This record gives sequence, structure tokens and C-alpha cells, in this order.
Amino acid sequence: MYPEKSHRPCSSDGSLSLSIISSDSMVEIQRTQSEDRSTSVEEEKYRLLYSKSKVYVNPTAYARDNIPGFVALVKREAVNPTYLLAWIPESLLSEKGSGEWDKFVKIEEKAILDEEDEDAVLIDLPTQRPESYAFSVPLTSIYSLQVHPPTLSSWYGSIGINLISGSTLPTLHFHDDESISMTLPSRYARHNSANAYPPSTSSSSRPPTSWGGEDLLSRLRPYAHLLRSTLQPSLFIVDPSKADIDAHTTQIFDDDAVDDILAQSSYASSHSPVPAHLRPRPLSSPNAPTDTAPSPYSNRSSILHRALYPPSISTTQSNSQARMALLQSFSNITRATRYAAQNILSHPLAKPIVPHLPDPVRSLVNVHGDLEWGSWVEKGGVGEFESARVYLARWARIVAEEGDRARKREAQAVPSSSDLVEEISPLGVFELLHSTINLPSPSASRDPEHPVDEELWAKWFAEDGRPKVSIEEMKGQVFRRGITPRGTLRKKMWPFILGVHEWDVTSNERDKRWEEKRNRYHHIKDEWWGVPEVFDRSDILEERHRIDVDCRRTDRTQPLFSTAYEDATVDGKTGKNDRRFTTISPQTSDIGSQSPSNEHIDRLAGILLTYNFYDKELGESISSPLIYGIQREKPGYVQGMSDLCAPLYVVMSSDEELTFWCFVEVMKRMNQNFLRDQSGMKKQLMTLQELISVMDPDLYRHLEKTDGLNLFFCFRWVLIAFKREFPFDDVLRLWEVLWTDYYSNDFVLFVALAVLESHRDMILRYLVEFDEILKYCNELSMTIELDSTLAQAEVLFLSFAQLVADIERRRAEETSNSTNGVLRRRGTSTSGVKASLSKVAMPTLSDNLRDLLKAGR
Amino acid sequence: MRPQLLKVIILGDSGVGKTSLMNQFVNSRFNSQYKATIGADFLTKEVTVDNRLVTMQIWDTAGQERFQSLGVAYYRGADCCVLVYDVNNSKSFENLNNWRDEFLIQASPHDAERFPFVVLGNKIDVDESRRQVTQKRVLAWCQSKGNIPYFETSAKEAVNVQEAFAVVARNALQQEAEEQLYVDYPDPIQIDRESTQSYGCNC
Ligand SMILES: Nc1nc2c(ncn2[C@@H]2O[C@H](COP(=O)(O)OP(=O)(O)O)[C@@H](O)[C@H]2O)c(=O)[nH]1
Ligand SMILES: [Mg+2]
Repeated sequence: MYPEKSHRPCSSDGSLSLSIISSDSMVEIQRTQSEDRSTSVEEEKYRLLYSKSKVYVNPTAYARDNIPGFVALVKREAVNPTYLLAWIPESLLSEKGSGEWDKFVKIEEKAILDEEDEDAVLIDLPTQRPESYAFSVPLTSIYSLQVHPPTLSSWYGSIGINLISGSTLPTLHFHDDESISMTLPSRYARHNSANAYPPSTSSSSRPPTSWGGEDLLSRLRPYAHLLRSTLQPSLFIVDPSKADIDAHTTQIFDDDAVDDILAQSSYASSHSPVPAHLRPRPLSSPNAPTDTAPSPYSNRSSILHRALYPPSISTTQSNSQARMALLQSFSNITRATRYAAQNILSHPLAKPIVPHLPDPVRSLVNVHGDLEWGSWVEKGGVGEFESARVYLARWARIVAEEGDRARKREAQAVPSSSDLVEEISPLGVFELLHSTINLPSPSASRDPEHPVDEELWAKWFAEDGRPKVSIEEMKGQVFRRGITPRGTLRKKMWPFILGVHEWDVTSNERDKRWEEKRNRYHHIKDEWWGVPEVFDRSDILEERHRIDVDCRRTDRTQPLFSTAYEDATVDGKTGKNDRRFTTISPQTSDIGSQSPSNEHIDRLAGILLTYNFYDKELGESISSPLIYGIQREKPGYVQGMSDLCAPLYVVMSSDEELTFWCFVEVMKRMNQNFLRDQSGMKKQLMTLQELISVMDPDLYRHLEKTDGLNLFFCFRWVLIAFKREFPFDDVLRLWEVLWTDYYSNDFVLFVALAVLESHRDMILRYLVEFDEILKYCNELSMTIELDSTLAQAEVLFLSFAQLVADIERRRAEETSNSTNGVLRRRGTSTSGVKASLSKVAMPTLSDNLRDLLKAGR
Repeated sequence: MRPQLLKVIILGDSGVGKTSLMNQFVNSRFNSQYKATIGADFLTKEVTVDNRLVTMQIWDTAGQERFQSLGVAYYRGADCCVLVYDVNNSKSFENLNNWRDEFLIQASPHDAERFPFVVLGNKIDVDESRRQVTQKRVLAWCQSKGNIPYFETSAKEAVNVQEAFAVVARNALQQEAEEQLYVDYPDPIQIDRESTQSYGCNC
């Protein structure tokens, strides 16, 4: 007889009493001490704590081979008890007779798990038989669980068990529909038809868990810490080590050394406003894997890699599938750990790395990072830095590798359409031109640090108020420098920029004409003001409602709009006549269902209502076939107009007439955005689409693949000129630049292109669905840096202009050449003509694109 | 693979509270300062429906009835459509017909008759005296359109919002299952060959 001690040299996990032999993935249960049974009975007591029936092991792909069994949680009674997870096939149990089977059924029916229960159910753990697949393993030997809940396409959820030893136990499939514990009436979810009104509020009969596997996990939880991995949400680590916790909470990878990668990732960009794809690229992409080679990740061992490239997927056939999985999981990681990444990047020790990171990663660097570094040093210490570096470097490498592969693939790609742009060069016509004719790289001219101020403004005018500089000069200055936000200079200058005031006249003349406009405004306003027949007409009532609803939720953080009428009765029932018409809301009193209004909000609404009448007049007078071809319905007030008008009202310091006429001019520029048939928006988005196809074919193709060519994610940007994308003060600075029409009447499209370009890497590499791009773009709101975006927009415009000029020049050359050719070969075969024509590989520029070069109205 | 995704579209006149309802459901918050929605946006929320974890993707749209045709890209693949009106504004109720028609045209579901809608009458927290649409009237309409489930909600006071969206989710899930019948054949159950083969012999 052995002394008891020697039986359990490492008794903490009880691994001796029930040793697991695993060769590859075969696992047996061995009763090493069966000869001791008579003497050490205490040790051999196995108490059944939990059992679940109809858990299958699927040895083959055929359903007929599936083996039903019980999964069980077993406690080995001892001073230091061991908890075991076991699976026993039904066949083994039935061999032992009904008594043993009944124990499992009894425990399964008992919903609550109670270790202290008087009548403990002791079981005989069955002896091993390799072909039976039975196993029982101490929880402490389990490394992780791969949990797949049921889905509509695979009815049964499953749990895979990975042991610390590296082997894997048979995957357990939970056939809940057959299992007693999951079909007991009390646990079964009952859902009544939802058509009843009022809806039933009872949700009392919710089942405690949704499927068998989840039930099992909840039973394991008292005995082991189950950490759900943030990297791979289906993975649960059992009793994770510190390293596991680090790896599965913030870090992405845990294998390989990384130092060499930092060097590689230096392809990443400088702070140049030129978009990344227009900058020079490394000539070679060392060791770039070919498409048929096994995935470069497949021999790595991190959990993420294994999860991304499951061995069951053949590498050759599903490379693209695996790539999709990689990109998708990255897009998830990007979102999920955005804040973690921001924090990591803000670490002072990360500072030297940051410039070497690709743009998308770098953009995560907290703008206020300096403030937070201190606290991160305290909290994190060097350890934090280590993981941050690994994290970042691996990320950088993946990004770099992905980029290389994408470029290679595109270089080999056969053009999918006969689009000339694609035929000319897979790199894009733009790069080709730059590389062959060495055009100088354009640079931005803006100088927003030195805005036009009162002093300079005054210098531009002579005594009589006539300007000494040309209006082009004035607009050029505004384009480059902007207008100082101090004082009321914008209020003075905007009416000139917009064309409300005439430029080349004396102040007397100007005043006189302004007086006419003032009167005209009141004339139009009087069509509804104080005229109940009009004001209360049903179509006007609807219009008032639309306008009122929106004005109450426009720029309410601006001081003018932030207060409410002090006297609640003002919002309606006062008898005074003028109050009757200042309150645009058709509801006599609607406190509670709307944000409260105030005098400025009502005045803003009045301006928009008046514009409606002005617009109608305008619509009637200019809708002749000569001007528009077809008569377009004037839409009246449309959502978005309040957003355009409110900043004018604020800058004009609540001057009603000035606001109105500025708004008229803004709408002259933008009313095509608000046409009922949306033709104007469609045209602009179409133009932007063509612009992308010429300037960034890679991005264009990506959008094509993701169903994003409609560019709906730019809709809000264009509709209201980025009003919602920038803080209020930036909107003012942007708009005055746009209104100058300095380079292009449609400079807003170059701003849109600039925003897309600065996020193109992110979009290309991580966003693979239309809705992802939309969400991403919507969330850019209030994160875009205005001045660098404008600088980039300018560079993009200048590049575009060069491109157009060059195409024109080449086309002229080509045509003269080919005409000569035709002349020479006249009378011979026509195929020669065709051949020479097909060499004309210059893209055709649409009228829309050409129109982008028009500046000044 | 994406997780099971249920696409839900919210439609209704401007100002009836679509954005507020969506935010109340997803973030359990009400903010009287929401701006008018321009274009479209969506929020997602994970919910458990009939023991199944699904992700609801809820699309909020600009509600100007005369400026609505953002169109097919947004509506395509919808699993449920939520129609919202303001109980204190009869016009917004009368427009439900248009919204429903518009949706059916744009989304063109396989079986328009059985496509799940849910109607929400919002802002019931406002004083009863302002109410313009009676329950009877709404219920009659809902019945005539194939027994559309109806809820009276307040995004402001969080009344019935979770309950309504639970029904939205359930009906969307059913719709999704039905749409599947049109598109695919059953997925074979994936067996991990490597791990199963080695279990076979060795005896
Ligand atoms: N009293 C009340 N006001 C609401 C409720 N829901 C929305 N509102 C208000 O109605 C206005 C329009 O809401 P919003 O969600 O933007 O409507 P949407 O245009 O349909 O998206 C806002 O002022 C909201 O504060 C509600 O349940 N009760
Ligand atoms: Mg909204």
C-alpha cells in the first residue's frame, strides 16, 4: 500500500487520480489507482453536480454517426476537491444499468446546483474505452472553450475544449430540442403573438439561459474564471493567466518578435497634405506572398490567427474568404479597441513610434494626448508600453502587408470593365502622368494664421467707400486667410462675398440699393405677415409646422437660440396680434412636445417662411423652358435649410433683412441641393464619384465593391456644406472660403474628396460594407481638422487641374497624329484605324468634371 | 461571418420623434436637443429574441415627407419597418399610408402582404387635451393593413419603447427566416475534419 501522500504528488489539481493520456487528440480516462479502491474509498468518490443530456459528439460528417451522451460536472471528493468536466456516451451509461442512467437524469432535472445537498449522487466514472470518446478532465487542465451559440443556419450550438497540453477534446454539440433540461415547461420560453394591444408586459417566464452551452458555462463559472476574449468573442479562456488577460483584453497578437517591423512600416507618411497614394512608394515589397502561397499567418500560433485561419478551410480555395475574415475582424477590433488604442498611443514611450505608423493608426493618437500621458505613465509603467509597442507594430505590419498585397493584386488584376481609366494603368492615370511628365507637386497656399482683419479691410476702400482692390483680389485674400472672428467684420464682409452688396460702387450708391432690398424683404414678408387668409391656409400651416419643428432644434447651443421664452404664456395664447404672427408654430400651444422656442428662433422661422414666398415668385419667373429645360417643382422649405440659415442669423447679429438676403444668395448657390426630384444632389454626388475615379482609382474600385458608389455617406456633407461635420466656428471659416469660388464653384467637392482621402487607408483596408463606411463617415463629424483638410483640398484641386490640362494636351497630340495616320492609310484597311484609336488611352473627361474647373459666378 | 443582423427602418414625418425613439431604445436616453436628421444614420443594439442573440441595426431617416427618396440603398434588405406618428398631430397619422406605400415600393419585399410593420404613436406624455388621434382610429387603420401591431410610446418618458422594439425584433427575426427561404439552401453543418478523424481509430 502506498502512503496517501505519494498518490498525489501534485494534489492541487488531482491529476494523478485520473490521469489524462492524450496522444494527438485522443483522450482516455485512466484509473491509475483502481487497485486502491478498497482502501482509499474517500478519494474515489465522484459526486455528480450537474448533467445535461443529448450532448453529441460528431465523429464524422454524417449525422448517423453522431453519438449522444451526457455532459457532466463531477466533483472528486477529497480534502482538496477536484472538479472535472466529463462527457459520457449514453451507450456506456446504459451498459451500467438503469440505476446509473437514472442518476444522471435526476441531477439534470434538478435545476439548482447544490454541493451541500444531503443526498449526494455518487457515480462511477466509466472506465475508458478509446473508441467511446468519453472523457473527463479537471477544469484546471482546460485552457479555453470555443463557444458557438446556435444560429439559424446551424441549429445546434457547440463548445470545443482546448486543453493546456495543446490537444483538443471532441467538440460537444448541444441538441437542446431533445434534452430534457432544455425542454422542461418551466424553462421553455413562451412567446405570445405580438399583435395584441396593449402589449403584454409580462416577461416573467424568461428562461434562465438561452441554450445548453450557455447553461453549462454558467455552471462552470463558480469553479473557474471564464474570460471572454475581446479579440475573438467566441473564445472563453479558463482561469486565464496574467498574460492571457493582457492578450485577450487589449492586445491583438501574442506571438513573434516585432522590432524589425517598425523599420518596414516606415513607408507610412509624413505630415504632407498630399494623400498617401500620391506620395512615392517603396519600389519593392520584400517577400510579398503570392496569392497561391499558404497564408502568411497560417503558421503562427496566436489565437487570433488560428481563429482567422481555421485549418478546416483550405488555404488555396478560400484565400479571399480568409482575407475577408481578417479585414472584418480588424474593423471590429478597430472599433472595439479604439479607445484602448487611443490611450496606448498617448503613452509617452509610444511617441517615437507614432510618426512611423500608418495614417489610420496614427489618427487614433489622442489630440489631447499630452495631458493624459502623465497619468498613463503612473498607471501603466513599462509593462504597458511593451504591450502597446507589440500591439502597434503588429498592427502596422498587417496594414503594410495588406497594402502590399492589395497593390500586387491590383497590378495583376484584369480590368473588369472597358473603362479607359482602368486600361491606362492599374495605378491610376494620375500617377502615370506624374511619373512620366514630372509635373511639379502642387502645394497649398492657405495662411489661416493671419486672417483678414478690420485694419486691412478698411485699407481696401477709398474715402467714398469705393473699393481700391478688385473683388477677385478680395476673395483671394479671404480664400487664403479667412476673416477674423473678432468683432463684427464677418457681418460687414459676408454680404460682399455673397453678393448681397455690390462691390464696385460708392457707399452712397450701396446704401441706396440696400434700402431697396430692405423694402423688398418687407414687401415679401407682408404676403403672410398679418394676413390670416394666407397665414392659416392649410398648405402654409404645414409649411409653418415643418419650419418650426426644425428651427427649434437648430444650433441651440448658440447663445441667441439657447434660451426659452421666459413667459410660458407667450408661446401661444396671448391676445396680441403681432404675437400671433411671430409664432410660426401652427399649434397654439405646444409646450412639452417640442423644445421651447424663443424670439430669435421665431424670427429665424419667419425668415425661412418669407424665403418660401420669395422662392415661389422666383420659381414662377424663372421656370421658363429656356433656363431650366423642364420646370422643376420648387420644394418650399426642406430640411437642411434651417442649418444653412441659422449661422447667417448669428453672424448678422440677428439682423433680419441682412440674414434674409444672405440666405437668398446662399440658396442661389445651393438650391439645386433641395430640388424635389433630388436631381441636384444626384448630380453632385455623381460628379464627386467621377472625381474619385480619376483621382483615386483604388478607392473608386473599393467603393464599387462595397456598393458604396452612390456616395450616400457624403450626402450630408454636400447637402449642407459640412454644417454638421465641424464645430460652429469652423463652419463659418469653411463657408467663407467656399463662397469665394476662388478655384472652383464646387470647391465643396474637393473638400469632400480631401476628407475621404485622409481616411482612404482606413476605408480601403477595414471597411468592407456600405453600412460600415456610412457609419464611419457619420462618426467623423466633429473630428475633422479644418485647416489641413482645406490645404489638402487645395492640393487636390491643383492636381486635378494639372491632370486635365495634361490630358487635353495629349489628346490634342494624339488626334493630330492619328489624323495623319488615317490620311496616310486612307483606302486600305479600317482595322489599322481602329488599332490606332484604341491606343488613345486618355480618359474622357465628362462635362461634369470639366465644370469643376469653373470659378467665379 | 457577420452575426445575425436584423435591419429595421424607422419612417414617419419630421419631428414625430423617430430619432428620440431610436436613442431611447438603444441608449436609454432622451435629449430634447437632437438635431433634425439629415441623410441617414443607424444605431445597433444586441438583443436576445426567442433565446437567440441578434444584432438590430436600426436606420433612422430624415423625415421630410417631400424629400424622402434616399431610396433603395437604405431600404433594401429591411426585416421590419417601424412607422411613427405623433398622437398630437393628426397630419402625421394621415401620412402613415404614404410612408407605408413608399416603403413597400422602395424595399419591394417578396411578400408585401405579410411584411412586418409596427406602428408607434409617440409623445403620449403630452397632456391628453392635445391629443388629436384617437386609439380607435389608429387601431382601425392597423387592422385594415393586416393587423399591424400598435404601441403608444413616449420617447421622453421611456414608455413602451423597449416593449415595442422587442416586438419589432421578434417580427424582424421571423421575417428574416422567411426571406431565407427565398434565397438559400440549408448550410451543411461544419465539421472540423482534422479533429474528428483522429478520434476514429486508435483502438
Ligand atoms: N414630449 C415629447 N417630446 C418628444 C418625444 N419624442 C420626441 N420629442 C420631441 O420632438 C422633437 C422631434 O424629435 P426627433 O426625435 O428629432 O424627431 P424626428 O424628426 O422624427 O427624428 C424634439 O424636440 C423632441 O425633443 C416624446 O415622446 N415626448
Ligand atoms: Mg430624426
